[in-house]
Amino acid sequence: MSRALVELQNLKVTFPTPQGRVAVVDDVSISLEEGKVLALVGESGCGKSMTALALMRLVPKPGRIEDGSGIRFNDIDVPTLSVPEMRALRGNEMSMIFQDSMTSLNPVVRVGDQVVEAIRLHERISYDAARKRVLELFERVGIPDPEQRFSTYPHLLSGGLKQRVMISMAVATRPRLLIADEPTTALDVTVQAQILELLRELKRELGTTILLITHDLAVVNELADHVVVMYAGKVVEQAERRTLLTSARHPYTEGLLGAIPQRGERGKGLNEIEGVVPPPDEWPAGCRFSSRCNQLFAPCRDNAPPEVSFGEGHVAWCHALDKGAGS
Amino acid sequence: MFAYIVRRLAYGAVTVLGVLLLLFVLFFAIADPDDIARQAIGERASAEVYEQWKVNHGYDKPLVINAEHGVLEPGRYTDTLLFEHYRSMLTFDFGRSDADDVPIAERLRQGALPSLSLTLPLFALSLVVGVFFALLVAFFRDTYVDFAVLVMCMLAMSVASLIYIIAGQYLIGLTLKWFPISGFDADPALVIRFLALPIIIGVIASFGGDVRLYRTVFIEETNKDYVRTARAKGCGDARVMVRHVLRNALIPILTSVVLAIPFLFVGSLLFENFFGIPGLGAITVEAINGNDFSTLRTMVYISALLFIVAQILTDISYTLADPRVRLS
Repeated sequence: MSRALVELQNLKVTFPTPQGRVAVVDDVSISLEEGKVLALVGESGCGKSMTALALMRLVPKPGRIEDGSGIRFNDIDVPTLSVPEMRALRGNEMSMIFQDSMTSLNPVVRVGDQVVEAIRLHERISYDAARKRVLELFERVGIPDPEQRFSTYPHLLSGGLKQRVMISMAVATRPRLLIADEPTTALDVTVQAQILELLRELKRELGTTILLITHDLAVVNELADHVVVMYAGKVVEQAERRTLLTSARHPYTEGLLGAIPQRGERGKGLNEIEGVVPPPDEWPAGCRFSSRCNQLFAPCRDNAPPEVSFGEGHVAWCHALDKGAGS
Repeated sequence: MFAYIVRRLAYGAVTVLGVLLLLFVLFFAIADPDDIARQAIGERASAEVYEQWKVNHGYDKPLVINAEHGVLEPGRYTDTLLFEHYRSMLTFDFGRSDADDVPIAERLRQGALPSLSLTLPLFALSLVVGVFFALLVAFFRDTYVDFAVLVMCMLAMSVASLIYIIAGQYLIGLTLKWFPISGFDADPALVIRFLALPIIIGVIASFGGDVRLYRTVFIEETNKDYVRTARAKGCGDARVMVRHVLRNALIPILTSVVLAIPFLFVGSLLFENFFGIPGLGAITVEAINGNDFSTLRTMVYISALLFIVAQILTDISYTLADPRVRLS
């Protein structure tokens, strides 16, 4: 039994709206074991990325992490860290790969220098030594002709190469935690597979713990050990990967799984979940999924759903399941 | 890159020729040489005096075609005011002033130094002050500091620069007596005293607009994804601003800055006049008041020339600042 590297307790991130502050991440508790890959799954706008940004204390203004949110990383109480202490952690112990490598690299700085900066912010080594490290890293993440690529600018690289640069930047300091926010979303399918393979190799070599944020259950199947499903700022179900993919219980998770095209069902329509995630100020009072749920019944609209455990860490929050377990 | 510069220079050359044509129409075709002569020596002179004056100042030739020469002779086209205008301007042989016969080149030499000694420090200082405050408010965006500075900028922009000049002269020069109200001295030890007031007022007058413009540019940059990446790497706020945001923001700022360069040389008409600085701006105003067409023509030509050069420099500096427009 390995220990937890990341522990989120009742994390709450709020943004101001005309109706007051609304929690876009509400009461989220997640624990991530060292050396494992945890996938955060859900549609756009369900708070996955905000959860990850909160962990790095990078929630964009005017968003705010509310008091009482517990964020522990490597037994450090993150919210109480001073700004310089937090800076020393970011990019060093925990680093992040962003979704859109097109805009996430500085357009006017040579890509090699951007990675050099990531190293030299945390280690006192010379530029030349850092440059050598970067060339090795480029080689490692599969960037052909590293010497020449070092001096090019982002706009001259393909999407896949830019994402490789992002990855090399994120792993340059051998972080304990790597947050990958939709690392393959902006890439075409063949490149997606290569990038996933690269992440898997790096995880094996470096023993890095990965927090994977994705809406793609195929990516989850490739990489994840443990899965947390989020909907509208809340965790709705969590389980081991195999359990979740084969015997999901929450209606939302079932809906997500049902929306994957299956080989045996060619020609049939997809069972998509009706509608989209409503904006945070329109989230229902009771169960937040109640406005789209197909198993809706009396208490759903008014009361928060109870926690229902199925053993081996498989937990879901749903009135319908509670009723089923009770009877 | 080389081909790009050559092409850009060629466009510039064509523009210069066009500017000269426009100048010719304005200064020769509309204000005709007889009028200019009358303005210079007065109404009550004999016809010979007018003719002699026109010969002395090179206004005695026909406008575009010289009928004294045959159709096939080059003199038909070269022995004209149009040709002479192009020749003198393109070779920088500006001739003499219509008003007092002083060589114009001499005037320019005398005026350039006072102009530059005012405009260069003013330009550099307002750029540094503007960028500094803009970075500061961008850093404190959406706080009361930002709001307060913005309100200040709006107020500062709403006041005409004439008011700044007069109020500044009254307050700093007359009431506080820190610096002389106006005047100039070529002695480097004394010149600072004379330039201090116009420079201070100039910086204040351009402060509001500059800070607002630069702030917008900086804030737009700070919302971009690469800034989040830099922070995720562990960059501190100051480093993010200086290393990442400033370099990207430089690109739009360059445009507004480089286009201001011609005014450095030609000087500020308003400031030189009010502060008694004998620079190129003062010469221009003097030429307008004294119906000194040849000097005025030269000043307009030089301003246009510098403007064209500045635009070419802007385009070239883009390619240096932004690798995305670097041309292969």
